[in-house]
Amino acid sequence: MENPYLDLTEELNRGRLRVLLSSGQAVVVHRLAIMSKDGDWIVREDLEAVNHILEVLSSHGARYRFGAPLDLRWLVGGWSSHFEFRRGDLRVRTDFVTRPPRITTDQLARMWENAEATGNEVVEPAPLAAMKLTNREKDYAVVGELARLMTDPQSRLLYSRSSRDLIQLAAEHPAALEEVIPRRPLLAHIAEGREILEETLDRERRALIHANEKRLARYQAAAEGWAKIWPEVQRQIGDQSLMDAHRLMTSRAEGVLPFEPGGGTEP
Amino acid sequence: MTEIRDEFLSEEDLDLRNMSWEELIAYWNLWLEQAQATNDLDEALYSHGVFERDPAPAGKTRAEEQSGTAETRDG
Repeated sequence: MENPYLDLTEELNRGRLRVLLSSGQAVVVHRLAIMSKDGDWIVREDLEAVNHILEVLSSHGARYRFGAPLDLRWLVGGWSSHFEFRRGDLRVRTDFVTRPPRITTDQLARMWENAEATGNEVVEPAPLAAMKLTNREKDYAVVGELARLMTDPQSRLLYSRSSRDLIQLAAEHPAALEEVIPRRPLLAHIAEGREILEETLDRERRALIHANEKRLARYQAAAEGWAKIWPEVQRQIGDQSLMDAHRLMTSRAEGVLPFEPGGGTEP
Repeated sequence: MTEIRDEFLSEEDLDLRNMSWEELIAYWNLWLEQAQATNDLDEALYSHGVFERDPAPAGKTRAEEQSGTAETRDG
């Protein structure tokens, strides 16, 4: 049976692993919930991968949405590229990044190594949980369930949103707890009981939400000039093939959309 | 007695685990089809990445055109 996001993942990975299905559609593959109608992929940061994606999208008649050009100079800076096409009655939206938020360079390298080793084209629960620490309340419910899919106690301790689960994990894996406390200070409160731990979980969630809001605000501020000229750029690329539109979009973005947002990029 | 545990998602969401792969794909596809009903409302909005909304006038949602108001994204 066919599915637009699985089929597209297969096309994008034809001949070589270039993308990993991420975010909401990855959550479906992990059988937790169906919450998003758009597709999001992590792209291997090399020219061949980016060119292949453009070719595949072009074959589907995709058009650029407002966003960064699918060009490594911007993708390295954490920017995202966005496209849209029709598949029958469906509006298919495709979003691409090479540097997903809250994932360190080492973690990203390990993600690709694991994907190569297993042939799994879907982001695994632990990095997916890190990416889901967004400014949306609903994502924290998903993170809570993703943590229950993790097999490694350290990962479960790092991402669990349940006070009951954390207390049990701490009792069963004291060495793992000691190891990860420096990475998640909240874990030092486990011994203080459920009520304190739940208050700390709430504070942690709010802090994570605010951190992501600040992160998005930096990109929004850096994209102000690009947003101003976008209506004109959009008119110019309107009737062009995706490949021509990509060339024009890239040349228009140069000098207007900085390769990195102010304040630098961060995992 | 059933042990109480912290709940994050509904039983309906988590029931995806009990579906066969074919059932999951069929349910997923049906959900995507039904979700097209809100395409006009989220025309200018983004679900992922670092952009929040399309600044082009063409990206204005139909709901905004009717009400003259702007929506905000929650993420």
